[in-house]
Amino acid sequence: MLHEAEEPGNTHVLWKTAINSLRSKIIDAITRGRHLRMGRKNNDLEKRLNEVLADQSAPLEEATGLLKKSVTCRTCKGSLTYIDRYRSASEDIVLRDLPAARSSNVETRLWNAHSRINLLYRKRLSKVSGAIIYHGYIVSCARSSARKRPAKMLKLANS
Amino acid sequence: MKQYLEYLKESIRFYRELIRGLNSNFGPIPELQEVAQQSSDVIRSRQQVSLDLRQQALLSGHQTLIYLGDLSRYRTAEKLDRNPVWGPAIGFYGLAASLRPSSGLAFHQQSVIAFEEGDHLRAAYYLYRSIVVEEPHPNAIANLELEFKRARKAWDSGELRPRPNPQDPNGARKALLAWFVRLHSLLFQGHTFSGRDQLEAEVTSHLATELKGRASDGVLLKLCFINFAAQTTAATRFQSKSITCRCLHI
Repeated sequence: MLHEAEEPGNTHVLWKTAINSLRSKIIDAITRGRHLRMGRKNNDLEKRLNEVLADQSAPLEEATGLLKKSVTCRTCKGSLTYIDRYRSASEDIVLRDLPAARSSNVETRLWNAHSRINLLYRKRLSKVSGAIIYHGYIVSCARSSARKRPAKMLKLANS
Repeated sequence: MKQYLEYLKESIRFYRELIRGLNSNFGPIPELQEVAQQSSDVIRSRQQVSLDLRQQALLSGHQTLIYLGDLSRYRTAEKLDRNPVWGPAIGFYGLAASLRPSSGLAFHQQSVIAFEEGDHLRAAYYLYRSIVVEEPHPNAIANLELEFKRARKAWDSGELRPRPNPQDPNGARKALLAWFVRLHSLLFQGHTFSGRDQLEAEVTSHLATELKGRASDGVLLKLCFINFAAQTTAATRFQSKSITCRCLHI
């Protein structure tokens, strides 16, 4: 009479379970490593983008030129702007590990970068320096410079 | 301006793509599917999505729709297109509101459009909606105060005052809306004012004429909603004020 563990069917099941568990551990480790790398990449891109955006006094051409400054993408072998790469890295994190992305505010940080670029354009287009820097103001102003009159300011608490 | 338009277009494309990704990875979420313009066969069903993850995807989708609405709003507000229209922004905010009606964010953003258009009734309506939901927008009351201040100013300057014009088929309705906004802008201040009875009588008489003349539609529903929400908001404000007073006495 054979022991249970020695039965060919049971041994097979045990091996299968062990291999599956090992495989999921390896996948977990790889995924975790990738997330860490992506997180680092994202932080680095965010930092570089903030540096580009920090110089609010630079002329529009220079500022947008910096935004357009391309960085070579190793994966796609093409050239992408900082914001493109930041977008793509953030999208990767969101779609791969949504709970982690939400807990580290990846989406909010990405939107903040978009808002800052948006503000940069609106500020330069308005030609009314200082009018838009106050938080909580909505400024409708893109056409104001063309019409040679000051920007129309609609005061609203943080839209 | 061309660069700015290009930037906004790129951002809109990116956020649309993100919605598509959210829907295919954690969906299908019907409201997101509409934006993603995706059929359900495209959805990857390789993993069983937990309820919690789905909920998080829904929150992300809602936030992304608001971002899309904001980007479209900037595009129109700055008149970057040849024919600027508010439709896309309103559409995105509307989808966000239908995805999470308990959040006041989408309603608040819709009020911003009404505010920019100078439509006092719609601005007040959406601001009240963003106040009386489960998760009210933190700035909604402050912005409502601002909106009513603007309405009072418009009345004083004669901009909001109804001008009788027998040839205008919508004249009666315009008058009703102007008087209605005027009444609410004064009531919101929270203190009595002279001529209140006459103002209320004016609104009621215009309302009666309107009800007799037309079939009920969205505007009348908006008026009813504003009345209910104004009462609730006034009660809440009164309660919070009395609590503050009590605290000060202690």
